[in-house]
Amino acid sequence: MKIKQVASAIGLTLALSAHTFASVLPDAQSQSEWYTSAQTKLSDKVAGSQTEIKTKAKNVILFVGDGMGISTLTAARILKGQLDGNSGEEGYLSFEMFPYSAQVKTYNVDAQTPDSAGTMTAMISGVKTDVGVIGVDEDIVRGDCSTVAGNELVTATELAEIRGLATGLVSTARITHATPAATYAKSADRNWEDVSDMSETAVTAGCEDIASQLVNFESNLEARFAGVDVDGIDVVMGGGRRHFLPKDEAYNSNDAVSSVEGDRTDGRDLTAEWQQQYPQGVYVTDQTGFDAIADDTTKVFALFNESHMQYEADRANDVAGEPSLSAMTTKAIDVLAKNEKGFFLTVESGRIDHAHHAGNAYNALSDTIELAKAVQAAYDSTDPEETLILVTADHSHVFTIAGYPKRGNPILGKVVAVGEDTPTLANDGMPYTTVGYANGLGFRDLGAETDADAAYNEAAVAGRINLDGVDTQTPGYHQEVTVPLSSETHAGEDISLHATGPGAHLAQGVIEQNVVFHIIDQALELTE
Amino acid sequence: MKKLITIAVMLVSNHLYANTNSSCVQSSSQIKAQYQITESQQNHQQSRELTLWRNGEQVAHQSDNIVELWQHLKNNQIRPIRYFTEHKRGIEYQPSEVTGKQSWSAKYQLLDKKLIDKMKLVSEQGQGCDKSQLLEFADKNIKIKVNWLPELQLAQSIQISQGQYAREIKLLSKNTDKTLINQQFKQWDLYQTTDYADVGDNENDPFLAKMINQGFIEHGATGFYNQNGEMLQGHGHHH
Ligand SMILES: [Zn+2]
Repeated sequence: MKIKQVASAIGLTLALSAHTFASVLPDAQSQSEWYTSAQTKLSDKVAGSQTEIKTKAKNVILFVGDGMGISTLTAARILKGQLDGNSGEEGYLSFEMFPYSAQVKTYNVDAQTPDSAGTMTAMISGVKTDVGVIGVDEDIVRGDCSTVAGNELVTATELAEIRGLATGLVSTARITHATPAATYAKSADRNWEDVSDMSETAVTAGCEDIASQLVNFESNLEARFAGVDVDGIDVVMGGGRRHFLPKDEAYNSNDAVSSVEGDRTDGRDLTAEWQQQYPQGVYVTDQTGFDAIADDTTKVFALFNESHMQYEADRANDVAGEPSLSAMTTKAIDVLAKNEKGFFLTVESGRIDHAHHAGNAYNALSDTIELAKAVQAAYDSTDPEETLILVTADHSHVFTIAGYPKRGNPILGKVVAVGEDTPTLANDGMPYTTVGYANGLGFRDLGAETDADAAYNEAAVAGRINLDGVDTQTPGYHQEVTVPLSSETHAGEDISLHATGPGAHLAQGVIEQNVVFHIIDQALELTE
Repeated sequence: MKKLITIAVMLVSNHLYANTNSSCVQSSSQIKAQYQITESQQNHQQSRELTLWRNGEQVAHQSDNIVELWQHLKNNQIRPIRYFTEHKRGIEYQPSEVTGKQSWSAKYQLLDKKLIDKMKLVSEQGQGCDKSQLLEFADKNIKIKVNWLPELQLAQSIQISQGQYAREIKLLSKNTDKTLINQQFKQWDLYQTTDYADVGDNENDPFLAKMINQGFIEHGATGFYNQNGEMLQGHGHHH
C-alpha cells in the first residue's frame, strides 16, 4: 500500500515536472527541431516500452561485420549520408535504427585484442575461448590435434539443426574462414581450412580439415548426438572454392584465377561429395548460376570465388561475376523461410576486416554500407514480429575519426575546420585526413584502384606525407599511420550489438561477447 | 572511347608482329632467360642477376630470394604471386585491373610493347628465329637502346642512360627446355601460400609475423619498363 502510494507520488511528480519545465522553456528551445525530434524519439520509446515484449522468435538472423568497430559504423554512416547528398552525420545505418543495442567486450580468454576465431566461437557457442581456435574451449592447445577431443563446443547452428529449423550460412570471405567456420567446425587451428594446410601429425591423428567438416556436417552431428537425425545446412554461400577441390587443373571452374584452383592434396572433390549427399541440392559458382536458382530449391551450396569474394566496390572485376551480400542474404531467406519451424541464418560481411588490415578506409566503409543494405533486405523480407535480427562485429580496428572537421566535411577528405574553406594545417605545415589508422602500411595513393589489396607493393610508410594535391577520397587511397606495420591490426575496445524483434530487448548494457549465444538460445529455445 | 583507342593501338602493334615466325613465338612462350643487370651512377657500379621465366600465360621474374610471378587471366586481369624461395612460402594477391598501370607485355618481355613500337628501327640482321633488330629511343630525359629479337619477343640487351645514371640489361643465356620450365613452375606452385588479405590475421605465423612487424622484406628485381621508358616499381606513386 505504502509502496504503491510512493510510486504514484513519484509518477505525479514526474508528470508535473515535465509539464512545468516545458512551459518554462523559451520557444527557441522547445520549438527547436533538435528539441522536438528528440522528444518524439523519447515518446516513441515510452510507447514502445508499454507494448507487450515478445521473447520467443521463429527465426533468428545473426549478422557479423568482421572488424566493424564503432568508428567504422560512424564513418560508414556519414559516408552513406554524403553519397546520398546529405551532410551525413545526422543519418543512420539501417540497423542503427533498431530499438535495442548493447556494448560488447570482445577479448579472448588468452588475448586482450582478439581475433575472429575466438570471438565468433564465443558468439555462436556461448563460451569464450582462445585466439585462433574454432569451436573448441580454452583447454585446447592451438595447433595440437590431440587436444581437440573432449573440448568441442556445440553451436547455435547445430542446435537449430537438431530442433528441425532450417539453417544457413552466408559470407563474403572464404566459407572456411574463421567466422563462418566457427558455426560448423571444431578445429585446433583456424588455418586448417583444407587438408594441405594441416601438418602430417594432425592428419594422421584424425583431425578433419574445416572444408571437409562443412561437407560432412550432417553425418558428424548425427555421430556426436546418438539418435539425432538432421538434414544438414540448407544454404551455404561464400568464397573458398580452392579448399573443396583437388589440386588438379581438371577441376578448375570458369571463374579460376590460379592456374590450378584446388588446393586439396587428398584428391577429394568435396563439391561432388556434397552433390552426392544432396542430389536435389544446387551447387553454383557464379552470378549466372546464382540467378538460375529455382524458387523451389531447398538446398544451396555456392562457392563464388577461389578465395575470398570481392570487395563490394571491386565486385565488377570478378572473372565470372558474383552476387552482392544483400542479394545473397535475400536469396538465403527465400530458401530457408520454406521451413515452417523457422530458421537460423548467419551472415558475415567478411572483408571489412581485410580492407582495414590493408589500411584502406574506402573499401572498409563501402563494405559496411553493403552490410547495412543486407540487413535492410533481411528486415524487409521477414516478419518483424517473429524474426530476431542481431547485428554485431567480432572485434574492432585501430581506425580513428579525428581532428575538428566542420559539419558535412567529406569523411574521407582532409580536415577543414568550422568556418574555413581550405584544409587545416598540422604543426608540420601539412594537411591531414579525418580518418586514419594507428598502425599499418600507411600512405599510398592508388587512385581508381578498387582492390584494397593492391597496396602490397611498397613497404610500410609511417607518419606524414604532404597531401597537397592528393585526392584522399578515391577508392585507392590508403590513410596515414603512426606505427609502421605490414598490416594494420585489430583493436581491443568494445564493439556494438544492435537488435530488433522478439528477444531483442535483452541486448542492453555492457555484455561479454558470449552473451550473444544466450540471446539467440533464449529466443529460439535451443537448449530447452 | 578510351577503350577504343587502346584497341586501335593494340591492332597497330599486332600488325608489326604479323610476319613473325609462329614456331619461334611458340618456342618462346616457354623460356628461361638469364639476364645480368648492371647499374652505374658516377663511379658507383652494381650488378645482379634476373631470370625471366615464361610458361604460357604465366611469367616469373626471379632474383636472389624472391620470385615475382604473374598469371594472365582470360578476362585480361593480371594476378600476382610473390614467392620467397628461402622460406618456400608465397603470398597471393587478388588480380586487379588498373588500366594503363598493369602491362602484361612489360612483365613478359621486360619492355612494354608500346615502347617497342615507339622505338626507331636502326638496323636489322639475321634470319628466322635469330633475327635481331637494333632499336633506339631518345627524348630530353632518357636514352634507350635495345637489341631486340622480334621472333622471340625477347631483349638481347637493353641500355638506358638518364643523366649520370646508366643501366644495362644483358641476356646471358636462354633455355627452352619444356621439362625444366614445367618443373620449375610446378615447384613454385607447391610452396605454401597465403592470401595477402589473410596476412593481418596471422601474427602467430613466424614467417608472416616477420612481414607484419618488419615490413615487406624487400622488393623483387623488377627491371622492366613502361611505354614511356620509366622503370616500373609496382604501381604506387613516390612522393
Ligand atoms: Zn582481421
